[in-house]
Amino acid sequence: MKSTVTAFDAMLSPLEQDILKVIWPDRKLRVRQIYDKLKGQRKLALSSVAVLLDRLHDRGVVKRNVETGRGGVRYIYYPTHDRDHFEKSIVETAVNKLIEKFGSTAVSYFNERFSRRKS
Amino acid sequence: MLAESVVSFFSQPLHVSLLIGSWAAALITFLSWRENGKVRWLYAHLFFLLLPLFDFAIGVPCQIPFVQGLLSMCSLVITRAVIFAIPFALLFAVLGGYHLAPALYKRMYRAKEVRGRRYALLAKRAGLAGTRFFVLDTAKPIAFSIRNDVLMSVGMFELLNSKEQDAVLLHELGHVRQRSSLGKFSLALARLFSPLVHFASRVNAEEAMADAFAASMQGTVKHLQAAKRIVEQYLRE
Repeated sequence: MKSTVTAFDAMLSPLEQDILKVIWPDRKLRVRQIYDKLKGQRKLALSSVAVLLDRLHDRGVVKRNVETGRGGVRYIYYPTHDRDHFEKSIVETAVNKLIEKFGSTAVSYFNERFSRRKS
Repeated sequence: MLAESVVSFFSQPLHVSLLIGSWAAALITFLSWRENGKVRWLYAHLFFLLLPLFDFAIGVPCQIPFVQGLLSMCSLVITRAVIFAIPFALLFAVLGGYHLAPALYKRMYRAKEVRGRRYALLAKRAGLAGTRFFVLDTAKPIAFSIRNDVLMSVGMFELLNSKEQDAVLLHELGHVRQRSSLGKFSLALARLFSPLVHFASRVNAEEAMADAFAASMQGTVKHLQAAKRIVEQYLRE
């Protein structure tokens, strides 16, 4: 069932979702700023935030620039797409994968589902 | 003479198979080096790349009667390889690798030099005014030194506070002081010839000395130990 895993690659873990919730409205943030905003809500370490941001960066969900300033060098992270665009692309990937894998079964289910919603 | 040598080189199946085999090995070692970034693969790559060239070059002067008499240089392919081509290829791979490695490391991590009072002051305190500092573009917390350069990643900077950053930079300056990158180089060289060198490693002693240097400069081991804890925590994630 490897393909089902890849179908939901775009899905995020709870902590990743929290990071994105912080980064979407504020746009450009440093790891430490994101950590400061989150540490009140849940128990976590700065290094966890750094690891997850690095992974989100590898997956193309966020982008980053190097900033040099007082206190050394650091990354400034910002989202690749806004929230709407991101959510749309998750739905898109999932639906495309379903149609690819199950073809007419998926399509007829979607039809059935939509007509039920209209009524 | 050159044209004749090329013809005679390619007319021998042994030479042609050496060329193909060696360059195939060069390609494999190049790909593995790209994959894992281990310096020894770079040396192996250079060795396999150079070996057929030296084998060929040694065959070129074989038209000269004087050369033909030299230590079976022109008669036996095996002895020629063992006595001439392999040692020459090894020597040049080692020299080339030593020359290339720092530049390749910097390119691999998109290293950028950083200047400023802070770095100049640290180097001066360590008694190494000529040291250059580079920032590596990766979120993994890594730091190392090559010859007189100290390299530290963005990830290391952002995980540590400035005292802890200084501790790591001073640790690396400690390595520059001991010239341990030269020591590591000779160690890697020795390893090529004897796997037993693994057991006589001086790496631990070097690390302890670099730690002691950083601690003595800062007057405390607190910051260095904190930095190590943070990096270990990152690696567990």
